[in-house]
Amino acid sequence: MTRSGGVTGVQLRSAIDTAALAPADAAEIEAMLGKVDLNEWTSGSTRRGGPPDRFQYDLVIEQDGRRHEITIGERDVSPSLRSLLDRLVAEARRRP
Amino acid sequence: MTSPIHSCRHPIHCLVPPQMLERIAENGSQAQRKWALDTLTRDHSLRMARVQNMQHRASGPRRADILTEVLAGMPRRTIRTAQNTENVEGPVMRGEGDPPTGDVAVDEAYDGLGATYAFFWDVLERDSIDGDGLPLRGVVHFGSQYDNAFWDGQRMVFGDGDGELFLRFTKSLDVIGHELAHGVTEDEAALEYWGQSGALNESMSDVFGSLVKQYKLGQRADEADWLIGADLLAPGVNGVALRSMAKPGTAYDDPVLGRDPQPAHMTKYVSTLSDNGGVHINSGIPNKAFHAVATALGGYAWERAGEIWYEALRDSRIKPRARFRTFARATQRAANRLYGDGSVESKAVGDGWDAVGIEL
Ligand SMILES: [Zn+2]
Repeated sequence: MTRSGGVTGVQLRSAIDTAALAPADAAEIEAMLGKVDLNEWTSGSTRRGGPPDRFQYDLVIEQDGRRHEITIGERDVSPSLRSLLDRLVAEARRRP
Repeated sequence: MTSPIHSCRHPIHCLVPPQMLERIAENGSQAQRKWALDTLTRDHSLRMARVQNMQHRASGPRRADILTEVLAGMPRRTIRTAQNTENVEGPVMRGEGDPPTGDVAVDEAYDGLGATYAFFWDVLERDSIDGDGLPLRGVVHFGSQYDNAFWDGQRMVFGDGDGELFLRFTKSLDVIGHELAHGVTEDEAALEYWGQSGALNESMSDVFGSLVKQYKLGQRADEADWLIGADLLAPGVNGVALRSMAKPGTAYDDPVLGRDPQPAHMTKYVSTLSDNGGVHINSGIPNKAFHAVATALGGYAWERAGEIWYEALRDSRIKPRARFRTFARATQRAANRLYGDGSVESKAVGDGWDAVGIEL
């Protein structure tokens, strides 16, 4: 996941590999993913331009041998996708 | 003098709606009009000379004209709280003329929008975002630990920050100016928020945001820090600001934030699909051009460089998809028009764009 834009212009990046997580953690992520309708986003949701200073999320999800690439503006994030993105952002914000 | 509100001993503690004051200023007796004008103009010490001049003339025949003129220099601010939700229509915390609330984000938004309004009015003679007195709507406490601020087409919205990376977004006056300037740019040029036109849009906001702060602080170009968001990096973050107009690419270098990605020259232009095609990245190039022009000219940056940039933004040849060079040429035309071909200003503009690799 990459979150870019916002007035700060700061880019946050993170990746989660469920195979490398504790089972309970992995199940939580899988559950979040399960609520997201990935097909909703596979048909090129990239748009040129947008409202100023809002976040842009670029998300790559690899699942069951399929790869989904999503570009989505903050205003278009559904509540189900939101919890997944929040988790990924929290991951990106962790200090090494 | 008899106050129109007899129960109120100290007008400063009275909550008289501006509309009522306007009516009194228009229809009241001589003394009432003076009181109403005083009250309406109280927060505007920078304009006191002009206002006093108007009050002097207010006894003459041009009363209606003068009233319009006085009100044209008045912001109309409303600050709401989203109460840490994403509802931008939350309760009103502070309206125009209301006293401080004690909620620091509310009061910073109120004061910052006031300072930004004063800059556009005093320096550029622009009456608010649309040039026609558009009321200024601010929303604070937006979202939960929200690390952002934005202009949504109708209002300026500010998050509280997460406290670890960023503090509240009302803390930097230049960021408040940045958001209001997005409204001005939308009104004047509607620069598409993508690629070079988007980076120009961003740069206009940084330029005017920085000028708002410099004007407020009374700083000359060589005294200003030319930083955007210097106040809102949380302690412990390795950096000085979000962006540096003087030295793009040097604002931060932090394990979480990464390194400031801004280029200062066209040879380093970043092609990317993220950030709407790098609008907050490549804005470093026109930002640096403005800084170069302003520092070459010296004095107050808003007086010549700022005026030239503003004129260029208003140039009818600036279309929504304008690129850097198109805008650069508009600044050159503006400098020639305002100061003459071959003037110091005109040369400084050419040199400024040359310094970032843009040929006119
Ligand atoms: Zn912006």
